[in-house]
Amino acid sequence: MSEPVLEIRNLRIAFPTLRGSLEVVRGLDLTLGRERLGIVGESGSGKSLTGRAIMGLVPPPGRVSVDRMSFMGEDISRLAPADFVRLRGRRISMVLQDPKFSLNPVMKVGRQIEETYHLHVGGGRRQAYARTLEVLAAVKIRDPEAVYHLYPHQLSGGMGQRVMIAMMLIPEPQLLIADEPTSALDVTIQLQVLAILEDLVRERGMSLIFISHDLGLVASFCDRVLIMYAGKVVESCLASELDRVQHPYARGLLSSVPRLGDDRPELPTLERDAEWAQ
Amino acid sequence: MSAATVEISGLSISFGSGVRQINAVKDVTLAVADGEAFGLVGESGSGKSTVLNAVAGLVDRYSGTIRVAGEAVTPKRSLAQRRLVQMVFQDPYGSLHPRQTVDKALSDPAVIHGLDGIGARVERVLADVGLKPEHRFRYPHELSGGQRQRVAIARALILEPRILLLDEPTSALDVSVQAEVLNLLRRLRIEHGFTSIMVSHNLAVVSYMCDRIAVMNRGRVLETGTGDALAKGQFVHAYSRQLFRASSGYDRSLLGDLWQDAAER
Ligand SMILES: Nc1ncnc2c1ncn2[C@@H]1O[C@H](COP(=O)(O)OP(=O)(O)OP(=O)(O)O)[C@@H](O)[C@H]1O
Ligand SMILES: Nc1ncnc2c1ncn2[C@@H]1O[C@H](COP(=O)(O)OP(=O)(O)OP(=O)(O)O)[C@@H](O)[C@H]1O
Ligand SMILES: [Mg+2]
Ligand SMILES: [Mg+2]
Repeated sequence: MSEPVLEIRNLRIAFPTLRGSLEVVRGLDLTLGRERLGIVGESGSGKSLTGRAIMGLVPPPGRVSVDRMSFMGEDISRLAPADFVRLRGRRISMVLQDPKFSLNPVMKVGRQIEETYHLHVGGGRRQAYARTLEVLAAVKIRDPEAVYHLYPHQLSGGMGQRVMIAMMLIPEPQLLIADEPTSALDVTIQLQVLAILEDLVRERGMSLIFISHDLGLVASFCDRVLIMYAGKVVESCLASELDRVQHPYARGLLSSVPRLGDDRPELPTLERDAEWAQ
Repeated sequence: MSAATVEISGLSISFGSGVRQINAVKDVTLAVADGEAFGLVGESGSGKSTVLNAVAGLVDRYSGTIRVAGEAVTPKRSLAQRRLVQMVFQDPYGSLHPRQTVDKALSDPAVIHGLDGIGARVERVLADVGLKPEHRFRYPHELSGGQRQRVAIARALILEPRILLLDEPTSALDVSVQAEVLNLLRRLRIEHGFTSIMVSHNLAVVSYMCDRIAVMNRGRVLETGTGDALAKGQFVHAYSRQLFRASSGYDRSLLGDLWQDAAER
């Protein structure tokens, strides 16, 4: 294989608590090529924090330690915060899990996208406006001119997510970390948004880390999948083989998904085993 | 006691004015029977949350009529009318106050509605949603996502509503917590027999949970049918059929024939 786009060895993230330091990511390894890598795993298993660590965005008082973290051959494990700024946006971008949290509540969403344009592309007012309408239309926003003038609280759940994705389309990053980017979208718009991401991977050689709770979607959209539990990768497989994973935790996840036409009176839930966290 | 029905007739809702007016809901008519579990699916931005908000009395201006338990209601509601209908919001993180403990989030509505024995009610509803006594005095950030969503459901249940509105109650949850919440909602429905309207993008989830389902697109209801028919792919509108086909995972070949008809009238 050619040089990996991203390589992480032994990533650890800890938060101080009253009873000492609590490690929430506990020795994660990851190697990413020009591919779509899915990350699944239960709530609290450390998926979002792993993404944030790659961006240098773990919130204080979180502490990050890692033996090796390199992006396109460059060691980024010891970058100063200012150097991360240089990396972010154009080279590595992240679509955060909660759009309403990450958008500025008192600024029209159109202006927020224009700001991204000015930051990464430069250009004049008119180009920024035109490009903003273009990316809004690309993510299937029905009426870009009207939505340009809305504030975040006036967007539907799925429109907020699409605004976040539209923003990311402007800098054209080499690595995109998308954290639950389509959980509020209906399946037909989801299909169209994922096709845009697939084109970026195929045509521009972008690498994608796709964090999701939707196992069926990850199995059909990604190339490879990591399954996380309690801050670690417990299994990895080809996405097409996700329904054949061995780990009892992964099997438990798969069986708790309702299927179309499901007539089970009750859905099975996970019985967690302390051994999985070892 | 009158039947806990919801009848929506000719409901239209728009936001803004002039060229920037957004017609979010257009002439929607729906009737939900007493004890029925009703589902709403459809395009993102098609007005599903807005319909629920209107039923909950949270939309100030609309045309058409909304009847709850046989009675015509307006946004100005009596305490009794408000208690009848409770809603679990789409955003589980935003709907709880970050500096309020679980205990406060649950007892406040009970105080407002002048209920008695509030401590015992809080204990009971926590047990109902599968939370432990130790969770009672925690803050939202000290709970996992799934636990926060249970608190949101508990807050709706503490007033013993007869009608429960659920806006994407599990889309932010991992599949195992989703299974816990769905089992809980089904069990509570058997025990308390409430009427519910649930919005979800997940066709398997809505058809598992709901007796009847309406498909929305661009503010309109395109068609209504049984959960069973939805699961079997028997809905007939071109858009509903697409939803059905696209719901078995990412399949790029479906892109070619997406229903683009604006149906804008
Ligand atoms: N700022 C913080 N302070 C303390 N603990 C935190 C903080 N942020 C995250 N954590 C904890 O770290 C763990 C991992 O969090 P993370 O957000 O990465 O989970 P996740 O896998 O993305 O879960 P979800 O599927 O619910 O989004 C969780 O137990 C969480 O409570
Ligand atoms: N307060 C508001 N001001 C202006 N427009 C609004 C407001 N609330 C909703 N809208 C608009 O109404 C339309 C319908 O929104 P709604 O939230 O009902 O959609 P939805 O079907 O719930 O979508 P999703 O599945 O993405 O959550 C959207 O175009 C939205 O921008
Ligand atoms: Mg997360
Ligand atoms: Mg909504």
